[in-house]
Amino acid sequence: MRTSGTGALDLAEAVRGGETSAERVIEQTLADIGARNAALNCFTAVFAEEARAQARQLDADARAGKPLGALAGVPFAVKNLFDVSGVVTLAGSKIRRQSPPAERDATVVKRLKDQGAILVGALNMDEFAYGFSTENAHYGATRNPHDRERIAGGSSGGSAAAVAAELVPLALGSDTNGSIRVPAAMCGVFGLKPTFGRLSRAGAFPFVYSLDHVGPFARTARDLAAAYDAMQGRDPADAVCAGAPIDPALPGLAEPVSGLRIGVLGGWFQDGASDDVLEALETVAGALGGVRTIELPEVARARAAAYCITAAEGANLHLADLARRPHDFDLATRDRLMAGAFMPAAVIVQAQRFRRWFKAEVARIFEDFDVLLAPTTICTAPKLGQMTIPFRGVETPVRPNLGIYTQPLSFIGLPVVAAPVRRAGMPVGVQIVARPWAEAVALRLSHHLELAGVLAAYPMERS
Amino acid sequence: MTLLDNRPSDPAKLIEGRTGPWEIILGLEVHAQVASKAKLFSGAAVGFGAGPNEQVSLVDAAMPGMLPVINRYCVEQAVRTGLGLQAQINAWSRFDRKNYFYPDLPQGYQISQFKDPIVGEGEITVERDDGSTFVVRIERLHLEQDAGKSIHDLDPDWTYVDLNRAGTALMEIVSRPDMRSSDEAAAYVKKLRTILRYLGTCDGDMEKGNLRADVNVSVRRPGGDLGTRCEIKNVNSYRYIQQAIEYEARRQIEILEEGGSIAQETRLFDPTKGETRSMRSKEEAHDYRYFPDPDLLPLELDEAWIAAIKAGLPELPDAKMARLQAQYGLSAYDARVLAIDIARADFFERAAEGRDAKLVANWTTNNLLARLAEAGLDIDESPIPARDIAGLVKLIEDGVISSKIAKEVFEHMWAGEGEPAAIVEARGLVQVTDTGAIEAAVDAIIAANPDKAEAVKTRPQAIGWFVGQVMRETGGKANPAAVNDILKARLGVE
Repeated sequence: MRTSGTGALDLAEAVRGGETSAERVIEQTLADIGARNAALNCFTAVFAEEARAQARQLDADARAGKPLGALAGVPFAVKNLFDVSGVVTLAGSKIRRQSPPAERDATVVKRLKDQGAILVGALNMDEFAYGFSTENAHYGATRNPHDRERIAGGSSGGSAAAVAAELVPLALGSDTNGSIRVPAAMCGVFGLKPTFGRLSRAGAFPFVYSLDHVGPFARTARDLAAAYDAMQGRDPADAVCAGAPIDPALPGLAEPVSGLRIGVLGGWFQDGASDDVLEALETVAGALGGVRTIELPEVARARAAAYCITAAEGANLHLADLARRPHDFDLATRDRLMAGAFMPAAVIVQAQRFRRWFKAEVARIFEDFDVLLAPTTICTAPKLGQMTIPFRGVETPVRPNLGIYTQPLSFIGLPVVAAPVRRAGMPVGVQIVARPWAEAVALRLSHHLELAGVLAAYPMERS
Repeated sequence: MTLLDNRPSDPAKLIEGRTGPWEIILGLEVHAQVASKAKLFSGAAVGFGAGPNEQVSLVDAAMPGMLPVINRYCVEQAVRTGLGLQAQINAWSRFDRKNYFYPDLPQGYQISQFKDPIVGEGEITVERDDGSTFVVRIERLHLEQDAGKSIHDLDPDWTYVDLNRAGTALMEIVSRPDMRSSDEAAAYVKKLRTILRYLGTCDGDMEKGNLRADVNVSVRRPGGDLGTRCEIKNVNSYRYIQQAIEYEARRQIEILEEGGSIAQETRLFDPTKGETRSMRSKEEAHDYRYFPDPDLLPLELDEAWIAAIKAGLPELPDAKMARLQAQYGLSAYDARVLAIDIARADFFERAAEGRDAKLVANWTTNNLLARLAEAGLDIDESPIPARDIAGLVKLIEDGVISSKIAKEVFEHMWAGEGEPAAIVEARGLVQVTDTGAIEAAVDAIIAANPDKAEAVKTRPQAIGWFVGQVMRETGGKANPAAVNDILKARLGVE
């Protein structure tokens, strides 16, 4: 069988059924990467030999009749801030090139491997995950597979582009203010930012401890759910994940969605969006029928507070390097971290207090709704090197502002599926937001909308 | 020879040794067999696959009293190549004898051009994989004879000689030491091969040895003086060129870092071991006792003849790349991928006629070329002809199939099931563009939601809501673009 472009669960089934072997899948994947990565610059490292060895082992296990995991033989790749045993964790930086190699795999990487998934490489990102464009000063820009003159979004741009280009069916990214959701929208694939604390961040290079999430990218909601399920589970190595409950999403994916109360976020979340984006949002709302528009209170403050906490906590993490070797930072990252380093403590205290208030307010809204819809980004992917975008009548800098609609939601840790809307033109995404710990609901609705032909990963040849 | 640097040291290209960074300096001598039916100085045929010694004339076998007569067509091919390399054509050039003794060289000398080559300085612009470019200066191009072949492994006691290749015309194309990494060297050979194939002066078949390179490798400290070079002989694939350079550079760095010095020598690349080893110490020119061949008059070319050849040059890769971008709106990347092989560019242009050219380029580069590469086929061997790619794109343009379905159709085309329209018909892959069904759904939804229909007039994006409703009604099988068009017409918005 031809494996390029085949979904993760379908691949695993074919491997388990003996229709193909893990080795053939991996050889095909490595060949695809070899042939097509140069034009896109998704990968910063390819672990060809390790992947081949793991594939051979898996095939040997299969021949010996050992049980194979849910993701047997499925190639995946990770943003290069995840620890991979024996590899230096770059986190998109030059500074970390001199660090010792990681001693063990990040928890989520290990859990995917435990299910038989095969790690094939590490993916490009904005330096230290601070950015929305994956135009990395040290490792180059990742290009959008649907139009190589445009950005892939960021900071997990390599992850989204690798999945969009069908180089791998699964990838991992991280999301502090929108870094999974923004590139997923711009590259036309599915991404999941789970509830804060659901998936372990142990072994993922941090950015903002109180806002960091990790999550998967895939081409279907079903694959997304499968990857998410494989990674769930408590992990004492990440204090915020130590008590995370396990709630598999895949088994209930096909259950009906008719009873769900669905709202569309208005106000801040639609103000300034491009026509493409609004039209796509309306398409989803139209397909669901009978949805209400509601507004969250004080969203502008929520975004501002997230911004301040990000800059200050991020600066705190990098303070020593900012003082000692500022010139080794990507300029775009450094300036914002510097600004964070000078933030008055009072601002941060106020931002944290407001965060508790905002969280409680949104929890009250979720008493009346099960799912809220919002656009993911204000526009489709900008051009590479484009510095500004028109937004609410003002030319606004691209890098920090592509997350205007994502930032207020991650700020309070809500689970969100970033889903691609099926339409002509460049990819547009919607956020399908559920109440805390209800990822399964957002995934179920995504799956149904996909079956209804409303959501779909963008076909690769469209560009 | 003066070795002028044309490029400053690029930190990204340096390789790290134990004692600091090193820069690799590379120059290539490419031997390209002239595409010609007959040999350079005899009427014997040139071809691949003939039996041993079946293509040998008395001249090639160096029988006493035989005299060489130059093949006008080979000269024309060399001039054409020189013009394609934007090089100086020398209206006066001369052939010299290069003397050495070897069983497969019956004359005891090779007729070559030493002091006065037929083509002088030129340059070519080379693209790297990431689309950036650099310039490689060409020092010269000269014509020479190839030698025969000694076969040592046919018999344990004897060596056999096959003279089929003896006397075949070669162009030796010598670059300046303008490459700084194995990737650049491979990119240069690729570009040179592309140009030769466009010109039709060499078939570029590296597997048959019709295009092969001698690679000169030296290393130096960034910005320092040039080091002593070693020449690696007869490397005949991009991968081997890269492997040979990587190995050789490492070898030289290790010697230098341990305080040793590099001996100028000729080395051989062993592809099975991935290493180079010493073949012989490098000869100097005077070892060959070059002198003008008294059997041949100097070659004097008529300017009008050169001009006529120039006028007949085909469109070259750089020009084609620019035109593909300008005429069809292709990205620089797609234009490069297509223009790299004249057969690809022709295929694309045949398929793109009257079609959405960008879509055709996508299907050609992303799908067809990828599948061909997997199968190890060239585009001339494609099981899918250009008109079927055109047919597939037309089906997408007309909204008969979605791009997703098109992928499925492509697989059937690849499997040899015939024309795309027939496949779509036979397999019932037509998407619901049955406008009648969509129109009925649209009309019903508009009638049931007059307020929303009204709202679209002031807020055009609100049309998205209707798209969603129609999708729901048609179970997701409708083509979103078709739905959009019908809605716009019905709701009276643009």
